[in-house]
Amino acid sequence: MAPLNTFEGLIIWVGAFATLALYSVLYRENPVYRFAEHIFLGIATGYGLYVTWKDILYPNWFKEFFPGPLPPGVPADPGQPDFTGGFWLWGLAALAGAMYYTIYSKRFNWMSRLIMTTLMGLGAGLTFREFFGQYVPQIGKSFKPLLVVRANAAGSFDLTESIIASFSNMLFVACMFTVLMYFLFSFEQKNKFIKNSSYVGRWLMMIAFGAMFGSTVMARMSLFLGRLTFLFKDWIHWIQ
Amino acid sequence: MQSRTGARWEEFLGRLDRRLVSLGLVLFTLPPLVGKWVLPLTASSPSRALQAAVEAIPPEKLVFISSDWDAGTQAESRPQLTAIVRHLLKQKRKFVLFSVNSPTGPQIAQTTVEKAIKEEDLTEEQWKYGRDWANLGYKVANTPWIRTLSRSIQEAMKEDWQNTPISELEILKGVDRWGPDGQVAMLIDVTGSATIEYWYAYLTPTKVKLGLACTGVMAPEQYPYLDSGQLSGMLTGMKGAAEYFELIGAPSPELRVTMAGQSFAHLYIVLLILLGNVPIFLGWWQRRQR
Amino acid sequence: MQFPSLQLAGSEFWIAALLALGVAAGILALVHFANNQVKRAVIVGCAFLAGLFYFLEFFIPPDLKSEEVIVLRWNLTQTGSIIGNAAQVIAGFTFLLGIYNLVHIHGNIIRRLRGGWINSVAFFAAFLAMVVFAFWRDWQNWFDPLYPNYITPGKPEFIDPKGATFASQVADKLWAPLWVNDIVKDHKPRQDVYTLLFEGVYRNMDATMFSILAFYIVSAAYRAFRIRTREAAVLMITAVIVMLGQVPLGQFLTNWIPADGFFHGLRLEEINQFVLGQINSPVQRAIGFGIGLGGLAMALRIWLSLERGSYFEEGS
Repeated sequence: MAPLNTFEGLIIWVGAFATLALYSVLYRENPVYRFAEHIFLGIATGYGLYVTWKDILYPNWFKEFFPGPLPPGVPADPGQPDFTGGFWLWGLAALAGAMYYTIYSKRFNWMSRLIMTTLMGLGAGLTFREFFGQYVPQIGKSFKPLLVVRANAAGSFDLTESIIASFSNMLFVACMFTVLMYFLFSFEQKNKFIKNSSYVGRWLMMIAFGAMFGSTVMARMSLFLGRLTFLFKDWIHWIQ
Repeated sequence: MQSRTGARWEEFLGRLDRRLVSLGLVLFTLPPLVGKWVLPLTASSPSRALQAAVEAIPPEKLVFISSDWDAGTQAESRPQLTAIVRHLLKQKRKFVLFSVNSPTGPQIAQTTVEKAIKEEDLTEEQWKYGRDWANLGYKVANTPWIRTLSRSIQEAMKEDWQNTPISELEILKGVDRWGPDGQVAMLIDVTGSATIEYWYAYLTPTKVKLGLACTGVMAPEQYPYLDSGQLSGMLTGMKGAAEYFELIGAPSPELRVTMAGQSFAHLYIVLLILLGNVPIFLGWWQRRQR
Repeated sequence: MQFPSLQLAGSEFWIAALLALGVAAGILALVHFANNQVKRAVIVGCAFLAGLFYFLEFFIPPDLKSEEVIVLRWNLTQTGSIIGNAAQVIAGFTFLLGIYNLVHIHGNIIRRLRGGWINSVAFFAAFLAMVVFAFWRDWQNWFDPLYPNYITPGKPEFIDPKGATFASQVADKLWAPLWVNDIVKDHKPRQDVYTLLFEGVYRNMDATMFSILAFYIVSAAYRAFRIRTREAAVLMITAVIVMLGQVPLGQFLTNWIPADGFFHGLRLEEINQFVLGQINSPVQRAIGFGIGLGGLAMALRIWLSLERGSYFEEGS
């Protein structure tokens, strides 16, 4: 068992009780779980408030907006003010943030819509840049050569490698093409080629979804193993 | 029509207490952990690619680590971050952490890195905070700010996670741009959410190398980016971390054992899926018999 | 510090700040008293101008030397940096809105003593405990310029934990006792209440909450995952390959196939990589193109206010 007379040990004991309180829901819904769940919510909310101040509002707004003294022993740069902050226009950022709070008022909630749509507009304007950054390189890389010639270490033609590389590219292009067909022609189709392509595309998507399911299982089991290790190794020392 | 045996199975499955099935998961995964079973582990190509990408970074350039995970995914993300940091420490590559989308990210990354430094037998003086590494804290991941960051690190970052102005951090002196023409050669996103999408969108044009250590859930969606070269390498979940420890020559016996436990957890799920499908298999078999 | 001329201190700062806020509030008041059509025009116009800004910032080629986009002497790139930081601040203020919601809901439950009110009390207790101990710990760091010197070895004001006068210096100079703000550098983790709350309670609860999903998967595995169609069979076979191929057990099962032999492609981990890299990858790319184009179309609709719904509708 983890020792209770050290601070590290105390953290482990508190953590173990917190873990067991939440795991009690696996037996059935119960008041201990509900209580622990609310403690978690409270702590998370409190932490969110702290971090929002510490990492966002304090450095980006408070210190920029309110004038303050220079750090002790740091002289002002030539031509620069002998104080920090004082960017009085940053008050408007607080006003913009405050506009969100009108969401609860029927009379004033147009202000919350104004700030929300403005931010959404900014995001929309950036989508063009995002599309070019994220997808355009992929479009280029989708045009793969279907016949690949590979050389071996001696520099002569390597038939096996060439066949494998060509097959790999052909398969890649065919898979992508058929799935695109499935999405582009999702309505009733009479053309046999399109119909069959999108049919194959549907099957290929099943393979991809299977891979996603398998990976999801892996992720979830890892999280469970993390807790199991905590309880049986860190807490009761069954696992050395 | 379902056969009598199939119906009986259905009835059995319906009555099966899910608490017993949950307990089964614990009982199935504990023996490998207690018995310290170790199974073979081969590094996958995305993990090898990440290792190669890290080792190809010019020594004078910085690595940024976007540590965007919280305790919810710590079983996967924490060993990933540890493995990557230990590799950087072995390579003597300076690094800077920051977190988007994960408010708890800076604090748990800080303790993880401090532990990794200790594991590499380095003292706080030998690998000094502010000179060799830094933690720039949490930022809200909104796209206007990320656009600013992609253009100028100095304009987007004000202070570190303990509110020390970045002008006082030696490691960040003159560090402003990403990519081959800038001071940052690589960004590695250790993430439990889809934050890598921001870096694809905004950092791909800067030609900075992107690495990813993601949870298993996210991994299949990232393969197109490995293919296009937008992603230099990737670690998938806890398995990726275990592989990376092997690759950097610092095998983690603890993680190897946990991977054995993971294997048995997967086996248990496969068996449950088969169990759940017994009535359907019986139906097929009986149809074939007729 | 892009605009030193916009930096003021003392009474000048307060006058300028209040004037700016007053002008902005005046403009909002004008719009408020206008009719709904004007309000809608303002909302639509702001969304359009906001989108236009980043549209131009992307499509106008930057100056080759400075790499900045300048239109009619207006530096769009520099303005973008200010907008980026302002967006952080605005997002920070919105987080407080979320907190207000939770406090409001749980406050009502306690006030009316509804069922489960004790849980709401627990919410407030935990919330306040975290807020009080976190802010109390860091208060001095934010508002005492000398604080960094107290905790930095080598500075004349450094409070040395090994020094004989440590306790009295802590009492004199620090705004919080050691159990609230443990400044002893050797203590890892720091031995204060905040650390206990964060490392002991928050981290473990967060990890546990997510890990409960594993049990849902266990439950779903035998109840919901039924192979009733051929598509479902393909999905399950792939899932099993990936589940086993991703872990050492899969490698163990096919370890008898030589890794460098002709049939190495039949090893489970190789099949797994083939599925992920050769089939899953193009499928994900095609799906990604769909998502990307959809996102672009959606962005256009938002930018041009073609989107219907509560944001752009008149008087909603």
